[in-house]
Amino acid sequence: MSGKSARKGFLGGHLVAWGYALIIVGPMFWILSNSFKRQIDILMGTGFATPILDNYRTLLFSRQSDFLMNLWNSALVGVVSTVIVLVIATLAAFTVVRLEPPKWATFLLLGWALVFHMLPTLTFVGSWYVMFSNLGLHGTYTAVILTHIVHALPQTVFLMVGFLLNIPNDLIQAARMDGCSYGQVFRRIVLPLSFGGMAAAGALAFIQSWSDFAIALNLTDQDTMTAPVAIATFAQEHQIRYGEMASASVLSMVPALILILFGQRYVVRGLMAGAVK
Amino acid sequence: MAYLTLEKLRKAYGKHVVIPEIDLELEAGEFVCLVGPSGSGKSTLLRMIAGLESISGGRVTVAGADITGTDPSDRDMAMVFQSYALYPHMTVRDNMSFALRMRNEDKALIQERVAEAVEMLDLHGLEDRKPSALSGGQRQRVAMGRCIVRKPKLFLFDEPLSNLDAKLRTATRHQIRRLHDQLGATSIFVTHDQVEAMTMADRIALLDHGEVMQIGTPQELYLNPKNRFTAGFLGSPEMNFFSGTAEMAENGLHVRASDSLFLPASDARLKRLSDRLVPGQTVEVGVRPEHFVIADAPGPDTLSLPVEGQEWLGHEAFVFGRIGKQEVGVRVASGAAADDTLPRTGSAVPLTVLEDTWHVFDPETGETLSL
Amino acid sequence: MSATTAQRRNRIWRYGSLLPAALLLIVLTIYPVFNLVGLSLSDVEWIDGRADTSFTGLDNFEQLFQHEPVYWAGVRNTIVFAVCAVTAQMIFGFAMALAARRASGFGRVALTTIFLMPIVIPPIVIGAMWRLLLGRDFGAVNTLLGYVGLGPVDFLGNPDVALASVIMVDIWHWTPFVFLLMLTGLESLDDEVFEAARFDVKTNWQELRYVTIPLMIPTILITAGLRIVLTFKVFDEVYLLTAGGPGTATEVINFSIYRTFFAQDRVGVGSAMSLLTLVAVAVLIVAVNLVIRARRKAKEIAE
Repeated sequence: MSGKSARKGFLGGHLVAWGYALIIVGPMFWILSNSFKRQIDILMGTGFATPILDNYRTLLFSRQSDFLMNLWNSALVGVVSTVIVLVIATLAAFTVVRLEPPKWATFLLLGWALVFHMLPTLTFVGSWYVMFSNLGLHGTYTAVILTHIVHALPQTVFLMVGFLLNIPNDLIQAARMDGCSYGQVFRRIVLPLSFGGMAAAGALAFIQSWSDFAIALNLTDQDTMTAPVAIATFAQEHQIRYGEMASASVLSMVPALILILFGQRYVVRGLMAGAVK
Repeated sequence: MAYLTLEKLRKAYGKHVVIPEIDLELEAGEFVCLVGPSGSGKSTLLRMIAGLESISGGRVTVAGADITGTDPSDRDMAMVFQSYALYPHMTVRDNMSFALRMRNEDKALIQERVAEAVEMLDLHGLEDRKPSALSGGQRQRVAMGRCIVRKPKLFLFDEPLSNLDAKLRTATRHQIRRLHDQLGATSIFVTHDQVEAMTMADRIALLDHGEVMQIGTPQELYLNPKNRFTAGFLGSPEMNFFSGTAEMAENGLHVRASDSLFLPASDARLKRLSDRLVPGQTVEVGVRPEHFVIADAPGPDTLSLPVEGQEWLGHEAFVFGRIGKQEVGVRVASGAAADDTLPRTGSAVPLTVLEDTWHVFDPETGETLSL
Repeated sequence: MSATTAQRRNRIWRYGSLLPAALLLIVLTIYPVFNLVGLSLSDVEWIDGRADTSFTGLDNFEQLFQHEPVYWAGVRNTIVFAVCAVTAQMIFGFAMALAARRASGFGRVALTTIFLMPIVIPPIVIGAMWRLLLGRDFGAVNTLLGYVGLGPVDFLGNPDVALASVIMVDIWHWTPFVFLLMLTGLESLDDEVFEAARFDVKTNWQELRYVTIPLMIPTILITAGLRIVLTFKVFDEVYLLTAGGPGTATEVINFSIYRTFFAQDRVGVGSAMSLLTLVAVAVLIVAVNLVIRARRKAKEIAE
């Protein structure tokens, strides 16, 4: 009896989960197929048309389109901000976890980081806009990169705190007795042992930067515009270019898809760790 | 002046005092065990000496130099951790040479020292392995090797044997003591295991609640415990305790509760006791299991123990029972240590106590009255 | 002497290592809040790309509370949005996790990969995707509805269904996240408890009601709290799907802020909106944290 019901649950569970998976994947395939269709086929709802590369060609190589540059901007901002935030967060996390800073300092740092992490980003963007404009930095890479760093900082610190807690304190103390200063402990012991954690935290920081729209929309200009902002402008033009919008969407999904295909373990670990914390 | 001195050393976390005040001196070449139950502050004390825990008060000197506030990286001490704390990303060789490399020692010297340690610890062929590819015993030896190559001023051991299985633990005990002698090292060894302390130490410092209860050779602590805590901590099975009112007799001491126990004594011991005891005073008496003798027949001076169980260990045997609420264990004379001659459950054995082997403690202070 | 240099170096490291993070947070998260306070009390003109501010007291707040119905429509919509979307996500996510719980093993990696997709692809892409899918005349959803003789529905253009459509997209977006958290939570429960419960419970419903749900309460609370707070961040999808329209049907707080601050260049009122929102959500965050912490503490005491 119980064996039977367990079996039923087993099969039913599969059906439900795969059913939902279909609902997730369906739209993605649809947009993928649209990216290979002519505008007219999209508008007519033609099911099957010979796939063409026109949308991608126009999007990437036509004179009117800056999308290649937008992708480059996204990549540049993403990579630079990820590298910097990883260094800053790992340094801070090591001190918080192992070097016993004053309790109030830890509490303020982590507490405010948590609150900031959850506050609507847009409530800060206006203030940033005024600050960077007054400094003459509006529309520069510096402005976007700095804000992306601080945007990803709380999550990265929390993740690194979690990962560094897994490095036994004994190891740190052994290194201290072997003659290491804090800096040497960090470089010789902590860094080599936290590459896995840094990969996870870095993957998520990059995704966050790559996906950001609220900040980039308001702090970039024509030259520093990132891919998500460009996609949004497609939708605002008088004559919406659906095909190019679809292919731009597909291209913007690529880094995320690569990450979950090749680094699923890290992404899951990071996401779950971040959420549970 | 002693090699290592702790003067009025104190440790508190805020209001929570772990170590009120400790004084301790170590001679060069000594092997001292810090023993105590968990929470006695023994590990904290070791880490204070190492510089891993801050010191709330007092002074530590090594070879005449005050090192109280110095950084652990400057103390030139080496420690074997309970978890071994081997660097997982380094090979055995790199683990052992790490401290020397951090000090920019000469490459040839490093190589020579590592080779020496490998030889001493029988780690041939493992030099290029990572710790994860080693057995527990091998890791333990690498952890020791890491200390040996440095020729430190002081060897610190923090329960390094507790992760080994029983057999390996015995062998390693001998090895550690042998290495200590061979290197002419000065060592402090923290353990909660009295057997480790008894077998390895030149001197044992027994700690409880951050205070030294007694310090001395294993023999001193075992045979002449200064207080009830020491008496009860060392020895397995534990010493048996009875409380009752003491009365002097011609050739010994009567302790009366619901049953009466007679403790035979030499004149000298009796004389000393009579100076300290008020007749009719309540005392606590301690008798080790091996200091009971099973008499041939019950008599006026024997204590009758109803047998409730036996422990047969091969080279020795014990019987257990209860007198009042007090658990009592008695070692059976080696002649009777064959299973079929052990007193049976349900029977009662008459017990007498060997002359001068027992201890009397003040029930209030726990201090001995019989030394 | 070398002792003191080692210690000085360590002290410098200890503070120095926290400095970049602290500095960033102070300059780019704490100062901006004070900046907002200043701006919200001022009238701001742009002169040569620089803000020229003049103090006007509480005028902006008066404006916000008296004459900005769009913002307050956004507040209402955001709350409706949070309640509906999170409720649905929790129910679907938990139900699916329960169903899929014992289904682990086969296809697990593929399934996880698929469920991660909505979480990691850019929200703006999700907006673009659903804008194409929900289009009135040629969207795939209406095509599908047509097959079964329904529709077409103007999902994004009809004020009566627009908010529901946007919420639906959010549910699609975040249910997998809830599902994965719930599944992790379920799988971390002690299996022996369920084996023991087999002797005591008669029906699956009893097991769910008296064993599974009580054990999952901490995970459920944390996930729900997290999702509610994060729903107040919603912006990207709305921007692309409806831009707050038609009318104020899908106006959300963040979109009001964006429009006021950037599209209308009313920096003072936009700052007042930002500040009000920021404080309100911060209070919500602290409240959610306190609830979770209080429960945890109560549980510790009970044990």
